[in-house]
Parts: sequence; structure tokens; C-alpha cells
Amino acid sequence: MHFDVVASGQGSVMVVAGRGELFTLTYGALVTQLCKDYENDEDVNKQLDKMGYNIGVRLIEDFLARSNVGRCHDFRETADVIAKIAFKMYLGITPSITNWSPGGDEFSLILENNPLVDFVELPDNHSSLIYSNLLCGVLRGALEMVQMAVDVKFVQDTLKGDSVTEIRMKFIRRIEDNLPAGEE
Amino acid sequence: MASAVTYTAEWPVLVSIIFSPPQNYPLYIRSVPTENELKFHYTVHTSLDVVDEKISAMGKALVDQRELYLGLLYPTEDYKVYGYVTNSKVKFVMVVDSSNTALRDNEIRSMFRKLHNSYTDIMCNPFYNPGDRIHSRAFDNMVNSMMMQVC
Repeated sequence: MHFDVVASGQGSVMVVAGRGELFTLTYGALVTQLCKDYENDEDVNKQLDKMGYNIGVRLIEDFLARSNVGRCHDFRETADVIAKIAFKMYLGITPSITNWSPGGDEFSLILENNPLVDFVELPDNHSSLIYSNLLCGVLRGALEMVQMAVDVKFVQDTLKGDSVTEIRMKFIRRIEDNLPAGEE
Repeated sequence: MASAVTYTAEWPVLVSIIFSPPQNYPLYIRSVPTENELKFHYTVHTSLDVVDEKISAMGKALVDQRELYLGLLYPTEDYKVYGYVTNSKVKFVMVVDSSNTALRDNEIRSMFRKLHNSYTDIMCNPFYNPGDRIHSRAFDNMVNSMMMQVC
């Protein structure tokens, strides 16, 4: 059960308690519409990543304001914040963090369940579709705004028959220039 | 049991069929055993008429009660046919062997409810277009577990 703040003004706040079906169905409608518009899975994956990126560069502000976390000292802290605070806040789930690389620059997020894919069954003609690719873009965009260039990709997906969903995150480099947020 | 088809299942013989308005064609059919499938199809098609009859006969009473389960549609000498219709006019039909006395009414009701719930899950799949035939692994598994409970 998660709560959405729908409207606030004049000191009154309307909170809608939902089980998230509308959110899941909206995302599903988005993906299927993209599939109709682009006709091939690779293009849809790219679009989802782009859209995710545009959400991420904005969402980070909301996240920093609401969560009050300070600057992370290392990538491990970043991983904790992402899994325990960000995912919990926006998707209501807490993935676990595993598979750290020896250099500490790569880790995996394991999602036991993914609210985006409730009720979804991938048809056979969309076998290379990365259904939840929006999430990769969101993480990439959000981290870019805190000066981290990362690579994010799905390596396991319950939609494709795997037992869990696994997102691999790799730290590429620190972003030194202070260019304004790019739109893709 | 002197019957052309022998089976030990004490559970539905015919998979349940779902028809979608307004064309009333089946979105999903499964039966066990797979012989005599044609006879099953025939039985189910005729049962559709009975469903429509029941709906119009109960008419206002049905709407008032909000009752989805239609009960026994009609017994043939070999089978009993049960029906269930949703407010969106989707009809579920289940055929059970006549000699099966173990299945009680409330068990049939709960099987229909399971079917109905699984059907709504299918509808929530964004890749499913209403009116398509149902090709879902999850749905197949649910129907299998309902049908294959041989003791």
C-alpha cells in the first residue's frame, strides 16, 4: 500500500491510498504505445531510457528535498541510498545489494518483485524488449545530477523467465564540469 | 464405468470457456481428455443459449442481487454445465462429469471466482488486446491446477 499526495493547497492535503494499479497500468500503456509507434524493440528500449533520463534529472531534486540525505562519500553509500531510500520512496520496494566488483565500482540491485511488471506477460514477438528500461534512465539521469556518470542495465528479468530481476550499476567517472542539465 | 472416455479426475472435465460479447466466440477452451473435444465444443455452444436465457429470465433480479454465478445451466446425461457471467457480459462455462457428485456448489462457485480473478489479471496485461484469444502461461497454470487434481 503506498500513498500518493494528489493535491495540496490552503493547508489541506489530499492523500490517495492506492495499490498502485493505476501506476502499473499507465506504465504498461506507455510501453505498448511505444511498441506500436516504433515497431522494433531496440528503438523502444532507447526511448524508454531517454524518457527515464528526463524523469531522473528532475526526480533527483524531489528526492534530495524529501529525503534529506547528505553527500555520499563513496559508491557504496550511493548504493545504500538508492536501494533503501530511493526505491522505497518511489516504488515501495527495497532491492538488495549484491555482487560488488573487487574495485567497488560495480554492484547489482536484486528486485524480488517489480511493481512495474504486475500482470505483465511479454509476448513472444517482443523478446528483446527491456520492459522496465525506464528505470535505467531514471537512475542514470538522477545520478548525473549529483555529478556521477554511471552505466545502468538489466541483467536478469522475471519477465524473461529469470527468478529475480537484477539491475547492474557501474560507476564510470565523476562529472567535473558544471553544465546545466541536458535533455535527451 | 461403461463410458467411451475413462478418466479418474474428480474435477472439471472441460476446461472453462470464456466468451466475449458481442460476438460470443471463445477466448479460451481447454478440455481433458482431449478426445471428444468436438462434443465439448458443441455442449458449450448450446449452453451459451441457456446462459442468455437465464440472464434475460432473471433480468432485473440478477442485477439487483449482483449475483454473477448462474448455477447449473442444464444437465445432459453425461455432463452438467455451469455458468457464470460478469457485469461486462463475459461468460464463463464449466462442464463437469455427471457422475461427479463430489463437487459441491460452493466449490464450483469458488472455481469460477478463481477464473474471474485470473481473467482480470489477463486484462491488466498491457500486451493483451481485449477480444484476443488467451495465450497466457499463468492462466494455463491456474486452469491446470483446477482441472488436474486427481486424487
